[in-house]
Amino acid sequence: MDVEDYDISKLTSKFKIEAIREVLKLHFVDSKTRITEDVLQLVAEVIRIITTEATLRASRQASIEGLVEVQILHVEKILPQLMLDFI
Amino acid sequence: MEGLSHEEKLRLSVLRDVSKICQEVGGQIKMELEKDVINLIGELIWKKMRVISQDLEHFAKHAKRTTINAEDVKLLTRRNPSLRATVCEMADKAAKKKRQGKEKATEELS
Repeated sequence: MDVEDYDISKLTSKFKIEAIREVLKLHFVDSKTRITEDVLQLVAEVIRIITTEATLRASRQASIEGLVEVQILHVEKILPQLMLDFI
Repeated sequence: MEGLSHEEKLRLSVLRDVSKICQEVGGQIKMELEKDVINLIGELIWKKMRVISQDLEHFAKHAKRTTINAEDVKLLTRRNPSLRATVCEMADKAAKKKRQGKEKATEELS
């Protein structure tokens, strides 16, 4: 696989659902706000996709520059666009 | 881990999961990721989760609910059609599974 034809269904790592639940709870302003297990799975998947997308875009930036090591400046370059168009 | 606040522990947990995902993706596409790269992406995800939490809470509140549902997550991904499609597909699958489970339960009862 390379950056252009990456298949996310081959990715096995996942976020821990419990951690996601706790983080969301931490940031809710209203203590009455609830979230169900099914919806938590959706949020976890969205966050997993953002993480993957950031890694892939930074990797593509590095390979455009002819490198096989992704450096912090590559992430910095892709960051503004990612924040604008991704979510 | 001793002496860390609840928030710090969560941050580390998120960073660990982000690191796992980044490393796996990096391995699959044969790219080396500097440690700082992973920390930066981790920080980004941590901050993004805060924004996501608040957005979801506000969406639910706007719909006069206190429980966040799949519609709120769909609204969250409104600006990214392919991400939205993925979320819709996942939500439909989960709803279908739930329905089938219920039907099965009622069948067993009758």
